[in-house]
Amino acid sequence: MTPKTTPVRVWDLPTRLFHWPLVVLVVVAWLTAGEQMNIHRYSGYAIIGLLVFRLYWGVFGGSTARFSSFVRGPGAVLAYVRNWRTAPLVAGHNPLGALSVLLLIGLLIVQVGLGLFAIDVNGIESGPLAQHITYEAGRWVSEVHELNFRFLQAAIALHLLAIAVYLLGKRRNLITPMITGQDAVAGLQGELQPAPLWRLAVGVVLSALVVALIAQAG
Amino acid sequence: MPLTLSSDIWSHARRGLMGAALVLLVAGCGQQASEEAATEAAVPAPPAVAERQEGFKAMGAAFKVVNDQLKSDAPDMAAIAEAADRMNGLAGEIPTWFPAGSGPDDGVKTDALATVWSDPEGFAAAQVTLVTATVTLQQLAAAGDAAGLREHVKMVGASCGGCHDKYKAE
Repeated sequence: MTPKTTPVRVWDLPTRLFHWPLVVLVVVAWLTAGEQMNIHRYSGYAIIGLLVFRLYWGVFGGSTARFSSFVRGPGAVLAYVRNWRTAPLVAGHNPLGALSVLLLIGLLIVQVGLGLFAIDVNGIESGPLAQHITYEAGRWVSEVHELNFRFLQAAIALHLLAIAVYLLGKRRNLITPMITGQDAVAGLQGELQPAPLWRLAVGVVLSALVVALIAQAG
Repeated sequence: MPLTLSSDIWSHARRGLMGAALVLLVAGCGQQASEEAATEAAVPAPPAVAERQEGFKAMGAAFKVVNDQLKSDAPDMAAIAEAADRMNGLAGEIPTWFPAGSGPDDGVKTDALATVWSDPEGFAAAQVTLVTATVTLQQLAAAGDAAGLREHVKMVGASCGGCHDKYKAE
């Protein structure tokens, strides 16, 4: 392989601790949908907590997690796509990957938002806020909840495909850095500027509060 | 260079991945096509289909009222009793909602399974179970027994789900 280079920190621990539990929870929510509704509900609550944290961390977190550091305009995205093979390797999300992050987070927010109001066909199982809407409306929300999950599946498939394309087409391993937080690829520009620990504590408390409020409403 | 040495492994992996993606894509299209074919075979729905759909929606809406109230510390027993009455009335109507000729075997687009008509005894028994469960619901509501209701709605729910498993698609 390429000559050994010193690994550089690219993803902070909170970002990685957002990503991997999210993977597990989305799979759990998928498999328990319509079957084990208690587990489905709790995995949804946990996903809400992770999303609240990620939005917070996207403003106050480590440099590579901040939306302002990686969300770019259409011009930058196009320029990146045109020079895909030769574009400089920068620590953090590239301009195209940024769109994927926004898409995934956006679809997840829609998904859990709909789940809060969803009602099963029997009028038994329901999201914590479903008591504020009619059965008919709740059924409609459930249909959209199912449809949006198809979009989410497609976005996840695209995410995995992109990782495979980088691995095979560009010989760039994006998986290991999301596990270890460090990237040893040659010629990488920039480096993670971590956020202080107290910010993490604030984010955890904030997320837990939001989840507690929502769970209590049910 | 070790990179060129492993390049045939890469091209293998690449081909394998493309193949897998293609299989997934084709499988997805095939599923979609068969679903569309199934709906195309439908004949104009007899009025009983809309009638039972409305009936079961009203049932679900009434049961939602019961379950929503039971989430509260002080459930509105009058609202529960009224919803239980509605459920009991609707449950009693179920036998009239599935006339001969309104099933999937007649080419009707319906979520009702052919078992409704092929297993009339089982379907009738499931209906009686529901009627009985709604009577108990009425009694518990009249008695103002919130704890008993919270326990009993599980049985009512199981009666919905059990019947749907055998007699309803999805």
